[in-house]
Amino acid sequence: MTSNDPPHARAPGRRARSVRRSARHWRATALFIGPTLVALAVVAVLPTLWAIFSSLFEWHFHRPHARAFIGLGNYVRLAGDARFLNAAWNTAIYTAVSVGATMVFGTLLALLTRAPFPGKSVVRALLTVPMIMTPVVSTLVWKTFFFEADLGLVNWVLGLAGIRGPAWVASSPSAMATILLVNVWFMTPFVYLVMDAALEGLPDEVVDAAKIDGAAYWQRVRFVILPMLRATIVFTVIFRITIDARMFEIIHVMTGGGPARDTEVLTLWVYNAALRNFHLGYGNAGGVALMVLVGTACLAIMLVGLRDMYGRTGAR
Amino acid sequence: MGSQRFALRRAWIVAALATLAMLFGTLSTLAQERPHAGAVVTIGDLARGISDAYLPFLSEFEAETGIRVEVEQLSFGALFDKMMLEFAAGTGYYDIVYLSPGFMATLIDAGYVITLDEYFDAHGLDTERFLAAAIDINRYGPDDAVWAYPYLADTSVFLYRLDLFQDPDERAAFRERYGYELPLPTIDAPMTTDQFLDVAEFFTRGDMYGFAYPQGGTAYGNLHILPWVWTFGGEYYDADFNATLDDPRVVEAFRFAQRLQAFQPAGSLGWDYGDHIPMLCDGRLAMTAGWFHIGLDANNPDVCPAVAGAIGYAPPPYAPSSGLDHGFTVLGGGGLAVTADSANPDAAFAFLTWLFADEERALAWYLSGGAATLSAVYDAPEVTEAWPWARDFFPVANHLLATTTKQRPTVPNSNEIFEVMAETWHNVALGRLTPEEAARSAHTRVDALLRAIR
Repeated sequence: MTSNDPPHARAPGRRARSVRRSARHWRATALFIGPTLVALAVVAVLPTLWAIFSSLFEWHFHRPHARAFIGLGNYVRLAGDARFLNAAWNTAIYTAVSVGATMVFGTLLALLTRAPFPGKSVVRALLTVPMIMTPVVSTLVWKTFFFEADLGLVNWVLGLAGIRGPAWVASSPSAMATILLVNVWFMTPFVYLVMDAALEGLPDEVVDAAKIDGAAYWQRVRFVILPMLRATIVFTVIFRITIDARMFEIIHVMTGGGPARDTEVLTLWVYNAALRNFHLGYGNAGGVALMVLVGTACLAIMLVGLRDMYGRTGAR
Repeated sequence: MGSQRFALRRAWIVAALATLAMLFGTLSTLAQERPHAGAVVTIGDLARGISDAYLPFLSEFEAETGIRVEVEQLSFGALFDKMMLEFAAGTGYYDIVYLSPGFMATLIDAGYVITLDEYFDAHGLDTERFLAAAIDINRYGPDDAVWAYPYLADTSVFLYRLDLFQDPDERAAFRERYGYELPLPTIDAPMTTDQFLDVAEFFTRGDMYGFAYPQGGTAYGNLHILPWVWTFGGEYYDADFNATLDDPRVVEAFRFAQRLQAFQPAGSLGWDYGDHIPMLCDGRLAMTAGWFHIGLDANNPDVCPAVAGAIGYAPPPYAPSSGLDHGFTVLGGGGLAVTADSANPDAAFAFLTWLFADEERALAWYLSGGAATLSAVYDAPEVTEAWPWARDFFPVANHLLATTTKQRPTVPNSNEIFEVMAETWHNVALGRLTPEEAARSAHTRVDALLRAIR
């Protein structure tokens, strides 16, 4: 074959080289991604499938070999279980308030620390301290040192002002408020870091242009900065929902779901149903229901939050 | 020359055979004395003082028997979760596990632990040497089989501030306010529940509370209400597993607990094990109750210097309306059970007997922070020498174990029943349910749970 040959005569050789290159590319890709996919399948996909499978059975933890297929029976039972519905409601309240509060505080902190000032790096480091603390340890400190009704710092300070503080973790609605406060303290630094990084990436000229046009600070935030951060905000909200809806340790340590199930969320419900009361199939049905609820909420937020933006560009 | 060589060879052979025979004999004797040498026994126990206290004995046991004992100490929840996973998977990982009365029925019902009756018989072990309560707490089933080795027999001892109760000014003030003498509770003359409420009310002032007991979560919510139900003559269910909570005696128990709540720290509704100790040691509680070690520690100057020497021990109050002359406390503690999947059950039992049935070792274990299950340990002079205040404690402790303690309701789904009772009590304490509504609601829910085992 020569260079004068027609193109169709040269094509088979080029195609063969292209196929070989493509095969090498896929082999390399599989080599790099394969182990991760296998690990993901073992630690995430298989347990999820097993949870879904076991939720279709009347299956007790202490009699693992005696199980009976009941189809969607566990899910039907969930719909009429007042304790499960109470836990679902508590989860919704807890997640909505916690995600909302952390998003507001984290974003405000990022905005406040955007402009350079002396000691900014120190302030930034201090703001992230809660995030690096062990949740169980810090929760215990909050519970015993700050919120203990008779020996805690909060009620002592209130007492100085002549106010008798409540039994924070032993009464309602203060128990829910207390765990929310601890979670907001714990998770705000994460939002702060994400929003801070996103603000760093914003083009200064756009904000400056708005300033030159006479926009006040909050107008610049409201009409320029936040719209440009929209994608970051949506994905941070989704990430925060998946964390808070699955929150276990703070609530377990702080209130154990009490008093009188007022702070029992779905993760605690699943734990109690499956591991304390041995209703493995039923507990897993609750876990699957939680997964579906969280997944649906996240999908809805993603669709609504990003619809206009993707619609406008049409490319992504 | 040839015959000499032959004789020499024969002598060598005889010597070698003799050496072999001796070696075999020695090994055989050793094997008889150390039949389980090389075995490894794994224990799953709670992380606390009494399990810490037997760790130093393990090397001595291994040197004597060749059995290596490994101990995993975990929190209550973590131990329970892990042992259930191991049992369900049939791994045989644990040879011995801590058996709490709270979940013993579940483990026995599932066949995860073995009865020790046959072992006791085979080893000629006299169970009479142990405190009756330490054996009773491990009994379960229609034939009252023993499922775990006596390890801890415990109950709530009532503690009161002797210095306040004996103070002439306090006594005069009480007499003036209530019209009778401030009662000093003793084994022979416990307080009545009405007196108990008066005393609790009387001492609730300023920073001080008349009474406090943890009530948080399922475990302590139930442990708080259960003895009051018993004290007023009620029960959770009858012998046929029918709920018996919609009953005036149970209503009375809820009402009493509700009135008592007014004299307890508000936070006690969220307290867990030991959360009342700081206030007790601060001298802010006139009366409280706690497991035996809390009672002993309260008078220990190294632990509670502010109140040490000023704490009196008492039985629980009784309700004259019940027709009984004593109240009730919940039998606590538990045993060490040998697991059904254990590869070395004999070695496991050998360890338990070696440590807990030997008076000298059991005493040494107790003095270093262990528990007393052998009667002889309670009577040993070394104990009162080490802790002089134990002289006042032991008579009350023995009285409680012999008279006022009862095994908590033990059925395979006990935890669900306890969840209902704890939640119901919390709703009463928070003012959401009246005692009557609480009794009715608990009855319906507990009966539904019991239907599964009737």
